[in-house]
Amino acid sequence: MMTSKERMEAAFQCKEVDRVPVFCEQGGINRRALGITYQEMVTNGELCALTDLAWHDLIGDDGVGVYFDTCVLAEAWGQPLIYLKEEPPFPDPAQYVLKSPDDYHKLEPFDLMEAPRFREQVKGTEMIAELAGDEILPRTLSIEPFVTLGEMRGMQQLLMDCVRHPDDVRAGLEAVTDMEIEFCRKLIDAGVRWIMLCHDYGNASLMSEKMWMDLEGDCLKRLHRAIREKGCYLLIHDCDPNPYVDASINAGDLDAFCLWSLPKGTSDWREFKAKYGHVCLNGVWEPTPLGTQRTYDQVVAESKQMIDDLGPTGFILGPGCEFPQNGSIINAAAMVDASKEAAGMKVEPRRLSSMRGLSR
Amino acid sequence: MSSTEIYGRLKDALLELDEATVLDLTRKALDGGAPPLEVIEAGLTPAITEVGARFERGDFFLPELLVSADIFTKAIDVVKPHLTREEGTARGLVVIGTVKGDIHEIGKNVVKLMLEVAGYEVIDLGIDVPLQAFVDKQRETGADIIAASALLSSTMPLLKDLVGLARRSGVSAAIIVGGAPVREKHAVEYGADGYSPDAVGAVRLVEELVSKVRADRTA
Repeated sequence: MMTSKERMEAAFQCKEVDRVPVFCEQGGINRRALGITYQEMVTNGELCALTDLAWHDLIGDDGVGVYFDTCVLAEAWGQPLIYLKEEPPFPDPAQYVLKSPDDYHKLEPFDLMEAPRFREQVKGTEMIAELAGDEILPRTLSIEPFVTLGEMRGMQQLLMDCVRHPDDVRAGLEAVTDMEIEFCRKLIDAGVRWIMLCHDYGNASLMSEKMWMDLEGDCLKRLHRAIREKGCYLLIHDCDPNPYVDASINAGDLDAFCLWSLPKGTSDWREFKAKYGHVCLNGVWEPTPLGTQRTYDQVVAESKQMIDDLGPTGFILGPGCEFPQNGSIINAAAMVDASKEAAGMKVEPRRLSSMRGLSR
Repeated sequence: MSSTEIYGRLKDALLELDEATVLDLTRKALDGGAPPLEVIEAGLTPAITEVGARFERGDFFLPELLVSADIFTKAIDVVKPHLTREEGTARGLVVIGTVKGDIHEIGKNVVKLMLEVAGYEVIDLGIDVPLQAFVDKQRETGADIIAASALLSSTMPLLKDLVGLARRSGVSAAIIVGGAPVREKHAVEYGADGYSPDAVGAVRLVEELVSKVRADRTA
């Protein structure tokens, strides 16, 4: 039997696996494994590491790592955040640090290790790598520069600036890209071996493919290359309708896509797989039904169908976006059980019967 | 230049997102003696309607929609002082917000903007809004519509709670829901009066429901 690390590496390389790996994309629900608050999880790297390891022990999935939220870099740059006990922190809309298009030019590089939450993220990553580095492939999440810029300017204002002040936006994106690269490099040095990079703006619900590439294309190429040059796998995440998959591929150096919406011109996932089979696919569960609307048995059955259609090579089963933090933990485990059943592996009877008993 | 020519150029300018020209032509039309309401209905409204159509067809995206709505709003501000009190009356009143525990606002803001552009008055309660606040504001203002948004699986069920609370409170407004994970079937399950997957559809929905609400109130 493969270790989780071997399984994930094989999946990224589209090679044979003992069973399809599962990544729950747990960004908030995992804290329930230790019963800690959101605020504790995103401010304490070791607690974050321990709760994700506990989640891994409980569920048996293959994506373990330290991920706080998308705002770590923006906060390090001086953006005030609002912290809530049971929700991820978010930028204070009354205090965006980029108040005018001119401010995009004022973004200066800084020492990331001076940022308390980034230091915590590094500490937690080192802890995971030390405790389980031989068994698992440590992960983290990073974001395209547009996201960080939007957190400091306000998304609505940034989108309008893309039309009215494109050169200023480009300057901001370049500055953020430099720091995103530093962010990723430091986490890779701490032990991260695969990065899920969110391309949140790269889809038809936000902007045209042309505008996205005109403004950020070169930045994405630099960021992708920097991650891959450090020997880290790169998984591109886009959870909105009509993701610009071809443009992401053209930005180069990626190993996988995490999606739950099909790109334009593709009618189903089997067609997607046939077209983009050289790239590993992670998904393709829609998170809300997976976490909150299906029973254990339904998740097992639908997951096995996905494995049948899209696996076993070059496929990582999971939601195409974050597993709902109020979702059913049993349904997360059901994906792992489905993966085992599909591969003819034994599913622990006690656990299975317990899961069935608790099924909604 | 005739009014018809001005309106044609106005439309082109808005579709090119040319703010200076839109505002200049709006002033020219008024200075030339065009009735203010005509400037809106024959000049600006066809232009913003075409923006909406382009957005629905996928020719325009969110940045273009936001900028054109912003220009349109500025042009309306130029016309407004010239309108009579009756002409300046809003087509309906909408209370909008993102439900408690949810801080996502871009979708809600776009719906708000498109409703304002379509001539509705919108009271924006913001994000992370307690359910009771929607009901209280409707009662205070007599709003025709409560529009609630949720973007998280964890906050989606609050839309159902809001519908229940509003019904129990005897609110005389239609309740519409939206947000990325929300689908038509959820709106039906929650007992909401309507759902739209996007801002342009939300305007059509509000148009339909305001008439219905007002008819019900007078029945």
